[in-house]
Amino acid sequence: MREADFELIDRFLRGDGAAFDELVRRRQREVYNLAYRMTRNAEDARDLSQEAFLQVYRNLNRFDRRSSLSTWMYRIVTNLCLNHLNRGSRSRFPSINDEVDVADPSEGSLGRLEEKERQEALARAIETLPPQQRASMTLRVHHQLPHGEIAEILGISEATAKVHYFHAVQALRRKLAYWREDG
Amino acid sequence: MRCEEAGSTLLELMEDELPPGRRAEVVGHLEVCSACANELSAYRDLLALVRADPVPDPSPRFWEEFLPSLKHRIEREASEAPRESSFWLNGLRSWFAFPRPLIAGVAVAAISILIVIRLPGSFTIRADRQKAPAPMEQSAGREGETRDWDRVPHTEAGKRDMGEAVIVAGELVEDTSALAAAIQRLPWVDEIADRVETAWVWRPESDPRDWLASLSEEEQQLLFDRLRGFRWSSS
Repeated sequence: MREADFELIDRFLRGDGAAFDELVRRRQREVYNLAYRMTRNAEDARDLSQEAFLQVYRNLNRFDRRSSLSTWMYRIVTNLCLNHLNRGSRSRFPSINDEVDVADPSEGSLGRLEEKERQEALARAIETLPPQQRASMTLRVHHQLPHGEIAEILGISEATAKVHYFHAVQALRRKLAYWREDG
Repeated sequence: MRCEEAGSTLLELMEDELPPGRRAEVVGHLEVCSACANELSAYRDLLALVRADPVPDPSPRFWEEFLPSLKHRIEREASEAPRESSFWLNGLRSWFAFPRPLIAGVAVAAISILIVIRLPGSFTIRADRQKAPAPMEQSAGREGETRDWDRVPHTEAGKRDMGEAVIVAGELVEDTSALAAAIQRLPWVDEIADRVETAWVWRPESDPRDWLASLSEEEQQLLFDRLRGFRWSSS
């Protein structure tokens, strides 16, 4: 049976470094995946997930356990990613009102988008989402978190978290409407 | 039920967020309206596509090196801490020694200064003490008095003179620590305190613009509105 997260934390706080190693191994993929989905960049995701674990290491003794370890870690990763996106990536992530330069299948010789093309179009559309919307959608769709927990992670109200999620989905629907209508 | 009305509730329906009566109305409409049923289907397809959006798997070597690289950073930070980062660490310790509302208050006060720069016209910094509408001392000493000050014209010189006095939404604050102490009484500060912790406590050396920018437009507006309506006593 897998050792519970809190037991690992207790071991770490008693000075057992191997417990932290186990915690990293256990969580590294989900942390990386969340960072990647937020930044859409492998290099940034690597740096931010390392930074996230560094912050976990520094602050684990202050983790109050009122939330799950996952929620607490998601919060660290998400905040790092939001800071990262807000700091220097504006040009990479245009406004939601900007048009996404996605190929219109009706203009191409193939006539229809293949699955790969759809995924690429989706990726580019996601890049136009404001960071908070992207975070809400990622945490909801890929991590299946309830809106209340997403709100806790983002430090916003549950109602705002829902609005971010709904706006994100509606924006993607508008951006990608053509592939369904034409496909 | 009209299509427009039904269309605006489709995501709530999918999220099971509608009250039972409302849900029955929408479901009833979907049974007779193919356009709205198609729209619901489009949302489902879209979310399926989002769910299938892959994360490129890093190389096996990436994962082999992940933990060793992290441990190297931890060890390096630990070895450098006493020599190079004592100020940082001492600052961090002393930061945590303060009660949380004060942390939030100080941070928000700093942000209020920052907004002077970010939102020209909303806040400004007193550029020239001689030209200021009135010095704080003239009206100080009357317990509980509310002051309203005219806005000081925003100047480039003012931007550089951040340490002395600020005018927050038309109100002159000579001492930003007094502003911080007052702002901490705003209930809303608690709502952003966690974010303050994230950006300031964990990374006290970081640029406060980072976390200001992480606030949504609504939150920034709320912060501004709260400060606009803010009154403080002269105690």
